[in-house]
Amino acid sequence: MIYVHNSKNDHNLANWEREMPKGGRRRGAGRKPNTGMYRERTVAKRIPRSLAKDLEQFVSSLKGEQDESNFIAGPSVKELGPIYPSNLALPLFSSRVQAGFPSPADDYLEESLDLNQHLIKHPAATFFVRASGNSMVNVGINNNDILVVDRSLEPKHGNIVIAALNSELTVKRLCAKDNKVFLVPENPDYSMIEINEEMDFLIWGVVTSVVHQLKNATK
Amino acid sequence: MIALLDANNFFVSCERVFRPDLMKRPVVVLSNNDGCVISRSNEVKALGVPMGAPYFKYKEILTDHNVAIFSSHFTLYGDMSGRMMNLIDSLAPRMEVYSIDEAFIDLSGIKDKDIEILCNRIRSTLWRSLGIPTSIGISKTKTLAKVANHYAKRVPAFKSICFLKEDLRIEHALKRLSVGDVWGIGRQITKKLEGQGIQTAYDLKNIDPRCMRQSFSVVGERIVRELNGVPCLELEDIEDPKKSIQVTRSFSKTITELDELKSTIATYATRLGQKLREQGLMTKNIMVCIRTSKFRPRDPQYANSYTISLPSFIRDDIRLIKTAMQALMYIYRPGFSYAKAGIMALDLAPKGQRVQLDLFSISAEEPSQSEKLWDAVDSVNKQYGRGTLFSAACGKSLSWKDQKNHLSPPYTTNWKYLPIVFAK
Repeated sequence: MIYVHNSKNDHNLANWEREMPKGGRRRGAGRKPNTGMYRERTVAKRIPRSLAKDLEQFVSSLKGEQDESNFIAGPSVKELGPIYPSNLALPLFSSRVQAGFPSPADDYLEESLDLNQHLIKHPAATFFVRASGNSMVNVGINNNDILVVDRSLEPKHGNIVIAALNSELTVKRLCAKDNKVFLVPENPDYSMIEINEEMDFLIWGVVTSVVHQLKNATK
Repeated sequence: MIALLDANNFFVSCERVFRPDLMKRPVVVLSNNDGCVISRSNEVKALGVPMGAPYFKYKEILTDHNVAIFSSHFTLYGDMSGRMMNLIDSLAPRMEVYSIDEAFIDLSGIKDKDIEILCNRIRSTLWRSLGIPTSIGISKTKTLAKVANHYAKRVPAFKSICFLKEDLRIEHALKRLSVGDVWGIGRQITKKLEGQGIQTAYDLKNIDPRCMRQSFSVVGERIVRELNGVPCLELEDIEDPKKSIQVTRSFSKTITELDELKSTIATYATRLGQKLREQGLMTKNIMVCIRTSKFRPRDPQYANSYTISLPSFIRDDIRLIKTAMQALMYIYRPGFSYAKAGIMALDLAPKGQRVQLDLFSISAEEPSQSEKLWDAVDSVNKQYGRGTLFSAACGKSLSWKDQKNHLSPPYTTNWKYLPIVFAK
């Protein structure tokens, strides 16, 4: 399954991660990544029964799309839609999700939740990017996570930002101190970068959320 | 006052958004088939590579100068264009999309001082939120706004915003503009006008509009009136065949039912087909957009667009409608009152031009026959997987895979190709 968190609360998350029970994932266990039917990670989702057929059709129409060379081939009619509010709204259950059995009150559907609506405030200015590397693990950004980036936000001290630095997009915490600007990693193994005038530097956008898909839940 | 906003080197700018390494490198985008240059960064313009230059002729120069070369990627450009128009719409009181990268903004009722503030805000928002640089020309009519835009782009002192307000400045601007650069004055008319001794836009302004009507057309008359500061042009009147063709309308009353929306957009698609055939053009990239009314702020608001890239050029109603319906289904959401919709052909090629056709439309003249073939191909591919028949049947030289040798990834429309940010 997916957990999603806002980077505003990332300190809480870091704690939460530390409080994780011992044990857990073993290195190298499980199916090798990207080898399943879809050759990428999959997730389990609850959907209304009425939508099951449509979704099945959609998914089966995607099966033939997994060819790596696909984008080089160019014209593709079936690329995924834009990131504006989708029409696949998930039903909201009235009880909070907790460990244990669902409450009988879950039989009452109150309203629909749209994850896009929750995560994206400015659809026209929001982009998804994929993180590569481990320098931000302490704010909960792991290798391969999807970041939601809102380019309309004014970058502020302390924000997690995407910066264009020396011809590359990089994700770091933005810090301003004594008239100097730093890009600070969130992993003690990495060192921070002081921005000087010789560098090609531009703040590309502010990261608002991280989408991290848990491997062991998706087989 | 009316403003014309135009993105600078739009396709190149789109390619640069996710590639900071290209910010200072010269970039070109090639047309379908990698045939000729259709968008150039300023560095490439400075090299003397003209618009529409055949790629094979300039290949060496481009390589020598380390120019980054891209095949046209209309899914990306359509997505960025939709975002751009949405942002303009959210900032401006009223706007009309004119092409994939141009929009008119109605500024009537706004004080001159505030106009400049607003235009600056729109420009900086588009730059920050999308990374797309733009130029804005402002004046009394659409034709004059287009003139102002011409200067906003070319004269660095204007800092990308040119406000032609006083008559004397307008006069000055028109005197320096050749008549062929006036919006809507095509090559044929330019020749005729120059034959009559009309060289500059200023000369054109001083023609008797009624004469213009007699020797040219109603549109010609309107252009002259517009140059004199009298607004009288509708968007439909002038189309830039080099860029895109569109059919966009506000509905007489809002539409909530999908079926009604479908039939409305099908009508627009039919009109688009007519326009394409009238002008002897075809297209392979089609964008559909829908939006609710921003003048009913209490209603839930929604606006979206979707671009479909087809494997081959089309201009028949059947396939235009089919494609439009497909695009509509990606963006339609129930529960909204839609007030406006549009369909746009994002890239155009002349019918007669030898374009690389896909294997099954041997002749572009026989859409109905290729239609049948396509159905057969579709069903085969459905059964055995997408692209089966293509790869099995196409010789390498015929395959359209070869035409897009420099395609950038679909950064904004495919989960598999999201831009990579480094955490290292």
